[in-house]
Amino acid sequence: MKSNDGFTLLESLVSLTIISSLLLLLLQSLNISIFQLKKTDTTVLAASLSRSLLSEIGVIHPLQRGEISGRIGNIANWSATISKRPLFFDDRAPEQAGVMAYDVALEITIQNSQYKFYTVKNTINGNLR
Amino acid sequence: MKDNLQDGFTLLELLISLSILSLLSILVINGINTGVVGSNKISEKMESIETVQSLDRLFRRKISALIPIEISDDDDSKIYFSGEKDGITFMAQGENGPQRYAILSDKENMIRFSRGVLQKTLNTYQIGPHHFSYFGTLAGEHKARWHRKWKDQTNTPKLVRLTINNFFPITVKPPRHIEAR
Repeated sequence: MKSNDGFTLLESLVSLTIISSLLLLLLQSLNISIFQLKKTDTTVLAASLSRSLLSEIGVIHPLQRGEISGRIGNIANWSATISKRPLFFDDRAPEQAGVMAYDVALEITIQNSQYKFYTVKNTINGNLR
Repeated sequence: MKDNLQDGFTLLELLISLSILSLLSILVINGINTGVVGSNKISEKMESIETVQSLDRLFRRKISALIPIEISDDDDSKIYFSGEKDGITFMAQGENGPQRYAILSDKENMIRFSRGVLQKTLNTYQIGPHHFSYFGTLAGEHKARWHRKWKDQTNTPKLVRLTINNFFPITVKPPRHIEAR
């Protein structure tokens, strides 16, 4: 006898499951790429902001021991910790030599992601190098 | 007649199978649509990230290469640097020595980098609303602050800033003019 019975329930269920799991995989990969892209976006923004902020520190914000912080639009928060680095020249204290070095630790927060940047700023006779 | 297996479908069967098929196809089309919209968004976002990155790089590179050159006009000398709310013209180190550069708001939401007297376009960036500002002490002032204009001064500003979308800053510290005396 020719069997033109069509599919059984089991067959159709199995095939549907396979198809839907394939679709799920596809959508998941899309989701992952969207997530990665958002991360890249915030990293690029943080890198750009760090360069701007680090060039402002010592010019707009005085180079003093302590912490300064601020907000950029409603996307980013930043705080910078400035500490004096001990330096000695020929047994003279750096104040006498006129040279000072400050460690600057900058922390930028964008949408729950934190980025940290470090730099050293030097001054000679009180002027930023 | 009854043994013939090729009776065809009944109307009911046809209707049910058609409706199931159409439901499924709607689901599939929706999924494909979401995918297409998502991938379009991704490429759009990628483009905007690339624009910001490239603009950031070029702006920093040019302002950092600024030459605080003095132009003398009898005994009145000033720095070749002209900054306004919608653009800057200055002298900077180029590939073949010092050259004139201009970073100007060409049209609304567009920035154009150009070089030389003929203002040959180097690059254009389609971004949001933006403006330039300058930090420093103008002649006659005692304290450094932000300015909308920096013209006919004897020194370059301490900082040059390009603000995009009214909040996002790209701040660069140009080389300082040191008076040789």
